[in-house]
Amino acid sequence: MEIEYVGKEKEAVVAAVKGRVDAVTAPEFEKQFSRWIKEGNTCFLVGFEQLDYISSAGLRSILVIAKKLKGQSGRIVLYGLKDVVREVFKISGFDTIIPICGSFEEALEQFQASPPGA
Amino acid sequence: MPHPSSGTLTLPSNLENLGAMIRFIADQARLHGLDPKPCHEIELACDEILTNIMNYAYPESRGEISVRCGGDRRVFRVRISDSGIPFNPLKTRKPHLAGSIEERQIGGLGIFLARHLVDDIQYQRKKNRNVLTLYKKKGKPNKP
Repeated sequence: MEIEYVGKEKEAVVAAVKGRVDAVTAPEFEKQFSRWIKEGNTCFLVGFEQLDYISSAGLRSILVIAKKLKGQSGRIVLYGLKDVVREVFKISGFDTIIPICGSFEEALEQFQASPPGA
Repeated sequence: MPHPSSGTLTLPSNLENLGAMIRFIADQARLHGLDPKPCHEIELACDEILTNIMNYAYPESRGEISVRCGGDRRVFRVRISDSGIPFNPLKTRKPHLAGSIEERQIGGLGIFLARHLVDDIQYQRKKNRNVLTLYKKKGKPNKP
């Protein structure tokens, strides 16, 4: 797994996740976001276009991050999920609690339309 | 065409071996002719079961996990066994899949996902071992 910092857009950290998030790599995934949150970031637009695989360990990490952000009126929006990854979000019902968009543009639009804390 | 013979892999129950075991299962699934989508689904189902064993089966000792792949014309089969504490994952409760971020609980999803991603799954306690068998149906065979 690799997490790439893409930049900042309207106060949100834009990042791209590549490879596999499983029980081995999920702690590293969680740690990177915790670091960003500690630095004062509360909004994230995260590209999953190159994420090939996610297991429940990865979902658990996303839930931990989402819970932290909720407490700070922040949010995490995901975009560009591959079909196999989207299926995991659907089966687990995570698509009802984490905003999922098709593209970066769509994610940015959704982020601007309903700012965090609103 | 003869069917690929069954393959077995036994490794210490440790998260550092998760990748090797998953690669083995994915390779076997492909050898057995599974298409990419069912291949990904059985891979993920086994990942969840293996992760669970690696995290909980041997709380006070070291142990091993054996994975054996096989099947026939219609189905691909993965048998995962360990000699850890007796545990039937099919008796665990289904997690709550609705509710807000605050209401959702962390954990409990893995076994639910595994059950959802395969066509059948069976547990046996045999000779002091937990034996879990997962079945994934093959689609129509690909034309060469």
